[in-house]
Order: sequence, then C-alpha cells, then structure tokens
Amino acid sequence: MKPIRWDWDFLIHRHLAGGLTEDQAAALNAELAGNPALRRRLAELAFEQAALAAVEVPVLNESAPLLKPRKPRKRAKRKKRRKSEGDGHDLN
Amino acid sequence: MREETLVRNLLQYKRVLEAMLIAMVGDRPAAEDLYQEMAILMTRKREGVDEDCRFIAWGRRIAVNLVRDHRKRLARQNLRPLDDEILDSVARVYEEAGESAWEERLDALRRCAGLLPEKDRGLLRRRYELDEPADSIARDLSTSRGAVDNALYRLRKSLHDCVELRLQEPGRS
Repeated sequence: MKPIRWDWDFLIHRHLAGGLTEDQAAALNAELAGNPALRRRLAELAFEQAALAAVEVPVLNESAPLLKPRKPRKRAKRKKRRKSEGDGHDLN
Repeated sequence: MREETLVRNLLQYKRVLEAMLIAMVGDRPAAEDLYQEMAILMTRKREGVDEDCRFIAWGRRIAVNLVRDHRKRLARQNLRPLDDEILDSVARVYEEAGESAWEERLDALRRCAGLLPEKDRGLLRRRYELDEPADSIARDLSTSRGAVDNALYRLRKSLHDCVELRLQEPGRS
C-alpha cells in the first residue's frame, strides 16, 4: 500500500483551526520533528493568524462588510397617477 | 525584573508569545487563556529574573510547560496540541528568528491584506478578528462549512505567499 502523501500546508491550516484528526495530528507531529522548514512555516502561519485576530491588520477593518449585503427590496411598481381632471387646478 | 519592565515586555512581545502558543495548541481562544496564565506566572516570578533577560526565551520556557501541564484540559476542548517532544523546537523558532523579522512580517501582512478584494477581507475579519465560527459563517452565506474552510485555506495560503514575496523584495535587509 502506498503511503499517504500529505499536504503539509493543509495540515498546518487544520491544526491552527483546531480541526486535526488523530491520523493527521500524528503525521504532522512526525514531520515537524524532522523538518525545520515546516516548523518555521507553522510558526509564520501562526504569527499571521495571531496578527489577523489582534486587529493588527487594520486594512481588514476598512469597509469590510460584516454581513452580506441585503438584497435590494423590490419596490411595488407605482402606477403613474393620471392627471385627473381638476389636478393642477386651484379648487379654491 | 521590575514590574514596569515586565509590563513593557509583555506588551512588546505579546504578539510573538501568543503566536507561539497558537502554534503549539492550534486554537486561538485556548492560546489567549494560556497567555493570561503566562502573564500571571511571569508576574509571580519576575523578582527572580534579570532585568535584561532574553524575554522571548523566558516566555518560551513558561509557554512549553503551560501547554504540557494543560494537555488534559486542552483534550477536553477537543484540541490536539503538538506532541511534548516537539513543543520546544517549534517554540524556539520565534526566539531564533529575532524580533525584527516578526515586525517585517507584520508590515508585509498589512500590505498584502490591503490588496485583497473586500469580500475576502470581510471573510478574514469575521473568522479571525471577530472569531466567528466557520459553521456560522457558512450558514449566513448559504454554503457549507467545508466551502468556508477551503476559502479560508486558499486565502491564508495566498496571503502567506504574498508576504514571502514582499519579504524577498530587493532593498530589504
């Protein structure tokens, strides 16, 4: 049976989201133990996550919508008021 | 270490120490709790520490022990912290890189985030700054949790690639 080829970036992402399965956690731990470049990548991605969370990337705040925009309301079509007789005339 | 030095250091290195904890436990709220405990421990122990100690190194030792001590509690929160044997080697990356490297990374991250479309910035803000669960975002956007996770994964990856490119630009020391 061929060994699973893991996408390490994806596993780091899952780890930082608190969502690793047992198998994934075991694989990531084993790779981190022998791979300094992966340890560095984990540290960098965790740092970026901390910065995104700590409002240290102010550009995220500028006009970023919190909610999806509301659908435009359908306006009831107004019938054009016909000028009735007498409209525009001073009744007094 | 005097109290005012400790407070200054805690403020100055908060970002790095929190990132170290997030890397080890894989969860921001848990990392924030541990950071609070770390600050309390440092306050208790400050008198036995030199004024000019290497603060990140001191923080690393405390952080690693805290994660080890709280492994059971973290397991109850369905979190899988890194194995004890590699906690220290991951935490050391923060110490070895040097403070200026993290400052430069933060600056590059700000620039890269500024280039994102408004929709993507909104998603990052909801998930990371406001700490909104991916499930809740998915419901609101009428999509699946997996789709939100994938979108965040792609976004984080492209942001990281952009940051790496920025850091390699000529003229950077």
